[in-house]
Order: sequence, then C-alpha cells, then structure tokens
Amino acid sequence: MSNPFSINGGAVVAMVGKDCVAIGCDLRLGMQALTVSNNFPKIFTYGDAYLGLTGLATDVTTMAELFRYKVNMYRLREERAIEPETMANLVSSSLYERRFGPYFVSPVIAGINQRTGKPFICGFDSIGCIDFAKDFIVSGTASDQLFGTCESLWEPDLEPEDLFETCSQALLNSVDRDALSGWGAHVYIITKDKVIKRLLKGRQD
Amino acid sequence: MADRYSFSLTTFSPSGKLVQIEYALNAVNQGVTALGIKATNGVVLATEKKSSNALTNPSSLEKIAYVTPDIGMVYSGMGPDFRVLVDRARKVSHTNYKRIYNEYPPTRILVQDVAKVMQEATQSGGVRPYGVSLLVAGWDEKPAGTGKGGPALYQVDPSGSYFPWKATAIGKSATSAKTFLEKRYSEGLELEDAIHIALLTLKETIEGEMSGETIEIGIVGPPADNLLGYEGVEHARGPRFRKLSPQEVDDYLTNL
Amino acid sequence: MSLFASPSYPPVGYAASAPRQHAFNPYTDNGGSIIGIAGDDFLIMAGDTRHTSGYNINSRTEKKVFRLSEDSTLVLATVGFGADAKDIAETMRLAVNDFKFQHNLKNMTVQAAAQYLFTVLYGNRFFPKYAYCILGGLDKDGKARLYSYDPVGSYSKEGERRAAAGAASSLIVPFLDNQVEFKNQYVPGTNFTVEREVEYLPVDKVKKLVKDAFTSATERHIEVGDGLQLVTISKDGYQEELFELKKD
Repeated sequence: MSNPFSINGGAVVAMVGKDCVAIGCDLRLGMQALTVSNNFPKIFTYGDAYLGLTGLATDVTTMAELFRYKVNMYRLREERAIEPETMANLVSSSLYERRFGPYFVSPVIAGINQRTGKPFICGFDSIGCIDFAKDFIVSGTASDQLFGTCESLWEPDLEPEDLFETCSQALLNSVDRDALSGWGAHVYIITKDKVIKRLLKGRQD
Repeated sequence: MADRYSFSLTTFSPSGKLVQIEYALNAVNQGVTALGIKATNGVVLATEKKSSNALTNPSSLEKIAYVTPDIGMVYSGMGPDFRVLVDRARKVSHTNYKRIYNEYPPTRILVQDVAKVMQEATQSGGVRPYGVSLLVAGWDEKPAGTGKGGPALYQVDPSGSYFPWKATAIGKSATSAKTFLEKRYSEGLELEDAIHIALLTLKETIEGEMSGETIEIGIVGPPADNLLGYEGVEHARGPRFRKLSPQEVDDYLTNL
Repeated sequence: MSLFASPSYPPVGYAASAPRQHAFNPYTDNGGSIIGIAGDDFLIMAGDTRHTSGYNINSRTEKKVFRLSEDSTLVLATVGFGADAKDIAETMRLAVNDFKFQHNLKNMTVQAAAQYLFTVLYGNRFFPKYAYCILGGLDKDGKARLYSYDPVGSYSKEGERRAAAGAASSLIVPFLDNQVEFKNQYVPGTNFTVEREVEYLPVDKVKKLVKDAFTSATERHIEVGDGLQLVTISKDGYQEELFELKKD
C-alpha cells in the first residue's frame, strides 16, 4: 500500500467505435481505505485531445496543469489545436523527461483527429512508453477488472450510443469490484462534430 | 580585466539604429543572389554557385541545405555563418520539436526558431550578428493558423525579422531580381513554371555562364519516395525537399 | 582436490562466509482460473487446462474440474497450488465414496459435501491447503447449488449463483456480475430507478458466457489458456466438453 499508484485509487478507460471514441473515469479520491472526495474527475480536455490520468492524485493534478500550460503554448505558437496523436507524443516525451524520478501516473488519451477524421486512443506507462491500441485502453487500480470487462464486452465498429453503453458498463462493473475506485463516473462520447459528457451515478460505496 | 565584461556589440546609435545589423545587411547585399518562388504545388529555391578560383571543384560547393525532410534553405552573405545556422536549424528542429512531438516542425515554426537564434546574436554579449539572409522553403502537412498548409517560403534577416513571400530574392541583385519576379509571377503558378521563372530571373542577374555546375536549385515538390532508401512500409513518405542534380538543371536550361 | 591435500581448515585465504539463510517454501502458485455458474436445474463448472510455475508452462492439459463420484452430481473445481488442489479433490472423492458405503448406498447431498469441504479446509487451518474451491451439484429437488471457498474454508451456506477463482478471477468476476447478475443494468424507460431482475439463464447462454470469459482471460492473462474444460451437470447427468484456448 506504499505503492504510489494505489494510494488514491481511480480508474480510466478509453474505447474506439465506428467514427467515435469514448473515455470514462471514476470520481473517487481516497487516502488508502478512506474516501476523501467523491468528485475528483480524472479526465481533462485539451481541445480535440482528451487526457485521462490515474495514479497519485497530486501528480494527476500536476500533470493536468502542466499539459494545460504546454497545450496552450502550443496553440498560441501554432495557431491551431493540438492533434490527439501529437498530444500523445507530447505526453510521452514529457514523461520520459522524468525517466529517473517519474510522475506516478498512467495516462490515457482519446480523441478524434479533426483533420483526418480518425478516432485515436492510446495509453502510457509512467515513463512514457506508448500503447497504441486499436480497441481499448485501461488504466488505474481497477485495470485488471477493466481488462476483463473490456475484453469481453467490447466489439469493433460500435455506434456512438452503443459504445457509450459498452464503455459505461465496462467501467461501472469494474469499479464496483475495486475498493479504491468508484463513487460515480464521467463518460465522454466523442464524435467528429459532437461531444457528449455524461455523469453516471453508480454505486455510492 | 577586459575579458571580465562582455557587452553587446550591437548597441543603439543615438538615432535609434543598430548599425551592426545594418553592416550585416551590407554583407548580405554584397552576397551572391539567391531567390525563391512559391508555386501552388511546391517551392523553388535557386542561386548561383560562384567559385572564386577556376581550380575549385564546383561539385563540392553547396549553398542549398537540407534542414528537415520537407524543409530546405539557401542564403546570401557569408558562407561560414550560413553553415552555422544550418547546423542550428537542424538541431532545433529536433530539440525543440521532433523530440517532443515526434514530427518535424512546420516551416513557420522552424523559421521562428532560426530567427530567434539570429535575433539573439543582436542582443547578446561577445557576439556579432549573422552576416546572412536566408530563404527557407518548406511544405506543411497540417494547416498552420488560418493557412491551409502546403508550400511555404520565408526570408529571414540578420536582425531576426522574417517575412513570408510568394516570390523574392536576396543578395547583390535582389532589387532587380524582385522587379523581374514581380513582372513574371502570377497566381496559380505551378512548380514547373516556377522553376522556369527562377532560371529566367537568375539569367538576368548572373555574371558567369549558366549550367548545372554553376546553378544550384532546390525544390519542394511531391514526396520523393525513391529517396526513402526502402520501400514496402505503409504510410512511409519520402522527403519533399530535394536538390536538383546538375543533369536535371541542365535539362531545364536547355528548355529555357 | 583431495580432503587431505589441504593442511589447514579453514583454507588459507578463505574469507569467513556470511551467514546463509535457508527456507522451505511449501507453496507454489500454479495459475489458471475456474468458473462455476448455477442455472435453475443445471450447473456449469469450468476451468482452463494450463498449469504454470512462474513463466513456465508445466502442462497444457491439466484439468481443474473433478467429478467427485460416478453416480452423484457432485463436482469440485480447484485452483491455486496444484498439488494441494488435487489433494483436496482426492480427499473429497474418498469422502463421497466412503459416505455412500457408510450410509446404505445413499449419496452425499450437495449441502453435506459443502459442509464437509469446509471441515477439510478448516482442518488445515494452521497449515492451509493453498487452493480456492468451487463446489457444485444438484440438490434433492434437482436444483443447482454452488458454493465457493477461500483456502481455509469460508463459504456461504446459501450458495451462489456464480463464482470465479484463480489467477484471472479479477478479470472474470466483474464480467459475471454484469452478465449473470445483471449488475448496473436497469429496465429501459425507468430512468435508472428499476433494476433489471435477475433470472436464470438458459444453458447455451451460460456456456457462451463461460467461453467468452475464458477467451478474454486467456487474451489478457498469461497464466490462463491452452484448453477449456467445461462441465455441465443436469438431470441428464454429467457432461464434459473440451475446447481449445489460445496457447501463446
């Protein structure tokens, strides 16, 4: 329990559908077994790129702020929004910069590239190695459970509303079996010209 | 004691000028003419290769440099300063961009980075401004700002100022070359026409004989997958910036 | 070198060696996973057939589901330390067999077997058998009963509708929550106020779920794979099927 990745708890999942992506997170913030907050979202938006962060909560907040700064600087310099793929490489290089004193986070990126129209998701380890997945990415203290539910529930080319249901069920049922995650969830369902953010109540224990 | 302090050489004159920069521009204006023309589907950079001695090997003299696979540049002014800037441009394109985003910088970003290097030489202690103006040609895959991507042509001066151009020239005969370009340039120009106009412009200003040996041309065109060195890799794309071989230049000259 | 060749002991220049600690580790985790799902009048018990130690695969054909006798409906699935798991299965087989002769050829009820298994496991309370057990069978009314245990015998007399244990249980359990007990599912149009009612699933649906659970666990867990042993217990008796799982 001195593992920095499992002190505060939390779960994030991202999935690819047909011309859409979904990304969801739980809302719990804990200190070991004690729940401190039930309103601690772990997904942050940077234009077209959505970043999910699990791990040590202080690092989650720090990384979210760091990338807000970096992405804003990028947008000012380039006079355009950062693409999800570019964001992925930015996250990777930023994490690797701290190779020998890493941020204790497991980031996930989801988004649709507005230029190419392609859905994009990826995940990282805490030192920036990218996992370019075609199906789904899981992260956090409920990652084992998420691997199980996602691998069983996910199928290719889901329409947005079906993807939302699949993603939500995978997330909800996973965090219900993880004592360190839960207390409600946020799920974003992203298509090229629309983003829907839903608050799921879930079990409050 | 003198080396304990280092003040910038570039200090304001009472009239508000930075004379060191003007001297640097004088060096540029004595340099061999270089020009660039932006077309709808590419860019051309052209210059004369002038060797001061008949015994030099012209093939060893290169004035157009590769910076990234899609960006190249040419100069007017001091050759050694140019080589330093090419080194820096290649370096910053990686340190400030590729190592962060895993992609090469758009032309304007690279130009800004090089311009920053040149500006710093006008304000730092113990250095002098670079004695070159640059023409940077590139191709941007992604729309930058309000632009739509595609071909890009920039000029960078010793002061660190930079300008986007449709067509321009720098160096000894810049003024007359620009007058010529103004007459010949038209919207919707294609790369092949641009190369033609570049050679015609050069012909107006050139002192020696025009040949593949004495003319250097760099173009931004379609991806040159043949220059990749390998094939069969999906999504792999060859460089867009390439230099024309003396043979290719000669072919264009015969059709002039 | 001969013992007598050395004139002095310890040998000259031989540094005094640091104290060495020896330990006997009686347990190994042999991986694998098992699932049990109770239908109304049937029972599915399943396990993969991979047997591992560390990154080694000892066997691709080691079954984890044991029939406790030829003429009863009792079935035991075990995972954990393979030797202990087998020993428990053997102990239970002997007990079921013995019971029959001690009780006028009457078979042990599934409830009795469940309580007996607790006794066996708790009997080893201070040197536990490292095995997670799932016990199942049909009761006297032909209804399916399923019990799951921790290594020292904890179990619920009520029984369960579904159980999973072993290396990939953390992957499988939430899936079963969702698909067998309909957790987090609501009746459409009720605005999340009416939970979907739990119902017994038909046997083909349950088999499909079990296969899905194992192919998924095989995909994401290195200790699960090779083969799937799927046992069905119903009024038609004991039926065992074997399916291929990925071997990588």
